[in-house]
Amino acid sequence: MITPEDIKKLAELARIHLTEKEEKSLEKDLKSILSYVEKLKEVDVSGVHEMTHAVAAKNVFRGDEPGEEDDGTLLTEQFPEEERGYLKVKGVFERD
Amino acid sequence: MIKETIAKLEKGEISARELVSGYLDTIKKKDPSLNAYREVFDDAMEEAEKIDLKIKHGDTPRPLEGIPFAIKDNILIKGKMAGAASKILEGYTASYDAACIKKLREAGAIFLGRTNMDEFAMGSSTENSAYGATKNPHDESRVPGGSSGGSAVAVAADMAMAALGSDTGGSIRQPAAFCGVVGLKPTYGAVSRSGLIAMASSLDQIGPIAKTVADAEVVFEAIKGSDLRDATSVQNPKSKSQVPKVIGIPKEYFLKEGMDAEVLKKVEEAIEFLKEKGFEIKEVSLPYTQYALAAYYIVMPAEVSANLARFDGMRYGPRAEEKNLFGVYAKTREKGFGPEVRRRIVLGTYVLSAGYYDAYYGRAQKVRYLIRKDFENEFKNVDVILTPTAPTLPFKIGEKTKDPLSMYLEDIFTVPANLAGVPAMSVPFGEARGLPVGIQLIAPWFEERRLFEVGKVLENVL
Repeated sequence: MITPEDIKKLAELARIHLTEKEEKSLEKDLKSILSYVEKLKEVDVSGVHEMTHAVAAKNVFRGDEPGEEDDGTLLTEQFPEEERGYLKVKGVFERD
Repeated sequence: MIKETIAKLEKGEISARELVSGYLDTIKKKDPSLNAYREVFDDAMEEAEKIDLKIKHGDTPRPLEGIPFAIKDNILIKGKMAGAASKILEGYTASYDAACIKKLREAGAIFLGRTNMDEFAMGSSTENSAYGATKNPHDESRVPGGSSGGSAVAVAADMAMAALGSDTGGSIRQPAAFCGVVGLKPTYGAVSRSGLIAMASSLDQIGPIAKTVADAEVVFEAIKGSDLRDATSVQNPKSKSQVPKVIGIPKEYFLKEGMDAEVLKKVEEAIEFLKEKGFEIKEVSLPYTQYALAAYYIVMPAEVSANLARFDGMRYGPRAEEKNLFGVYAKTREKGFGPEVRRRIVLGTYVLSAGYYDAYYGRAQKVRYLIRKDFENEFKNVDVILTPTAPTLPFKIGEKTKDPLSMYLEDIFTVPANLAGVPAMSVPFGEARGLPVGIQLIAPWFEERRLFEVGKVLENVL
């Protein structure tokens, strides 16, 4: 069964900050959803393959080349922070 | 409507500008209370003018020449904002056209605006939008269904001639049923998903919402086909079948519990009607249907948690201020995502975590295979399967927001088609208690043609 610690851990893995109140309500919601999906345990799935795609999937290759619409300005205009045209983010290995 | 309108355009009985301005007037009048549109574009008249010039010049009209469309807010149109009705994409402008938009453009369509939806297509009522609920034009105290509620309302209330929606577990068909219009979820892979803001990639499909089955067919013909930018899209094989004659009624879809008795009565009427029209009716069995919703609520959130990892405030959308990178991610996602989206991301993270994969995701994918097999088996005996689209009539705004599971049960009849990948369409069939009822038709893979043929019979009930 899902515990309050599980919820904290999941929020960290999913990179979502949760308030204490939301942790509680999520715990309740997840319990109710997970008890609903429990019914899958009734199904005998021995020897059954996992279905990953609706239509038979095969590898499809194409050259990774810029198309006519990819001049990039519309993309770089979206940056929340930039410096000299480059995307700016916080240091990945910074100490607190 | 589409074919007749284009004939009028060609004969000069109406201009594209008149057509567009008529719809814009209706939007101005009705949308302040319905809230179907998130944005009405300012360049639709300009596009209409270009089309009028072409027609005047004597060019043969293309299949969608001058037809005004509403586009769901999760489908990209180059240079226009697209936000999936989420705060996390506030201000985001698309840098390219979705494949289906490119095809509509080439077919002559005009885009009137982008429509409201449940945030990231997660919901069955359009109440989960970060920009307010959309209302059902048949009764404004009720929901229009979802997640493509804005697109369904735009068509139902004559604020667009046709619309595009997306369907992951019923998001085209259920709002179409609730609003009394036609909604088609094509075969998985029939339409490119390039440029669709992904929710659950193995289930998502783009499809038309329209006033008539013939219109849905014209739009589907225009947007289908393979595309190198979606490796799961395929060249639609030609339909091999004869005219559909045998309609299967799966007993598992006729629940007493949780099913509105009047909806059930309408579905029975529809079956009688088709019998009178000469179709053979056969009872069929899809025994694994009862597990479809449970499998869906594992597969879908798992894919959601992976797909929505990209929304982290780094490359686009608003970015929260925090002292380190982890803090920026966590705060941006807390502020940007609504409660239902957060719920599904956390649930998806759980079912994919180490130690739980086999118990949840692996098992659900196996059950999914069995659900697909069910359809394969019965489509040897029948041409089309008929079911209700939704178990209820349009419900009151706020009625189901407190209990997520009761909202999820709305999708109980629509989810199996997404899991199996088969095409399915909701066709309006009269009303119960003054509210529209939809009938769902399901066909084998790439046999959309059968849906159109039976649908055209069914919609002529009046």
